[in-house]
Parts: sequence; structure tokens; C-alpha cells
Amino acid sequence: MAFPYSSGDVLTAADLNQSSGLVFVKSQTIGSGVSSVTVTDAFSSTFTNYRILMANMDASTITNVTLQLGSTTGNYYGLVESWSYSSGVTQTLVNNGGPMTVAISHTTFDSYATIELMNPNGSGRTGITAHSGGLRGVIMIGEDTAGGSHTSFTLAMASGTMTGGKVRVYGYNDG
Amino acid sequence: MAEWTRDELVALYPDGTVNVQIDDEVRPMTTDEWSAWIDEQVGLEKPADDPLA
Repeated sequence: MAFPYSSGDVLTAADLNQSSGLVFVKSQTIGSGVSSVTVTDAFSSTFTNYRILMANMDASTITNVTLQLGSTTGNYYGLVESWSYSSGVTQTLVNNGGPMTVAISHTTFDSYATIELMNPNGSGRTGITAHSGGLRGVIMIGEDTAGGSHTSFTLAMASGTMTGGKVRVYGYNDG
Repeated sequence: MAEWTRDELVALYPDGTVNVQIDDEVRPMTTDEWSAWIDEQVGLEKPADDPLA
């Protein structure tokens, strides 16, 4: 049945499947005083592309928050543009670097990030874009060139610890 | 800008107080993990005090 639906239409599973856009996969509450949080079984062949939201995280210090896909600690490439209201903008080119910076934590206020992943569970490269805001923030465009059919990811503080908040994973319906 | 020293980091994050998390399992770092984690941060730029951050 074609979208948009009308009053009285009887929707089948196929109708509902093709109507969904972002589909919730799982969420993970961040524990207390953790340096990193790994979320397993996040990616599968069900979806090609994913969105990860980190929200309401409390940090012990102002630092970079990084994203690691699976066990891949190198072969990341891209550009990280970070800013602070007090010290301006910094651009960093990542050339075969470690896990990509996806946010800068805040201490007085909650920290958050939006991360888009293209093809994390496929055998090829994974495209990564991320942004986070506030008085300090990050825009990141990059790629994990190692590939590896990832199923998990890890968010980690470059320094200090995080407490509370939630990480939510959504899949984009392939249609 | 000032940089983190080992002594400062140890005072802020004593052994046994830093955890790692995999899904719902939160466990304290072992002493070896904690020591390596502290070492990774030594020399990083210390953020300035910022009530707006």
C-alpha cells in the first residue's frame, strides 16, 4: 500500500516496514565513573547505515570524546574541526590516526553527540560523520578504512571519566 | 597551557575508582589497566577552569 495511508486502510507488516525511517536498535545507560563505554550488538546486516546519539552525559573534565569501531584502533582518516567559545576554532587532519573525536565534553552542563555511520557492518570502509554542540563542540568528517564488519563501538574519554546519560542506536531503514 | 602530571591524575582518579563498561557490565580497572590509563593522560593539556563549559 502506498504512502500516505488513509483512514480505514489495513496495514500489513510490509507496509509498516517500508514506512519506518529511523528504527530504534538499542540503548545503553552510561555507568558511574567510566573511562569508556562499549556497546555490543549495535550493528548487523539488518541496516546498512546507523545513527548514534549520546545525550545527558556528565563528564569529570573537558576533553575529547572518541569513537572506536569494534576493535579497530588505527586506520582512521578525516577532519576534526573543534571549537571553543573562548579559544576559537582548531582544525585537525587525521591521517591514519586512532579513534575519531566525536565530541568535546562539558563539565557544568551535559555533553552530547550525534554520530552517523555508513556501512559499519559491511566488509568495506565505514563512513563516519559527527557533530556535537554547546559552548565547545566538534564537527567531524571521516572514515574507518580498516573495515571489518563491525558489530560494536566504544565511546571513550581522552581524559577523565563520564557518568550517566544514555547512548541510543538507530538504524536507517534500507527500504 | 598547563599539562596534566601523573601526581595530579592519581590524586583525581585513585586506583580502584575508575571503571570500564561493556554494555551493562561496569567493572573497576585493574591496577595495571589503571596505571596505563593514567600514563596515557600525562602531558595532555589541562583544561582551564570554565564555569560556562
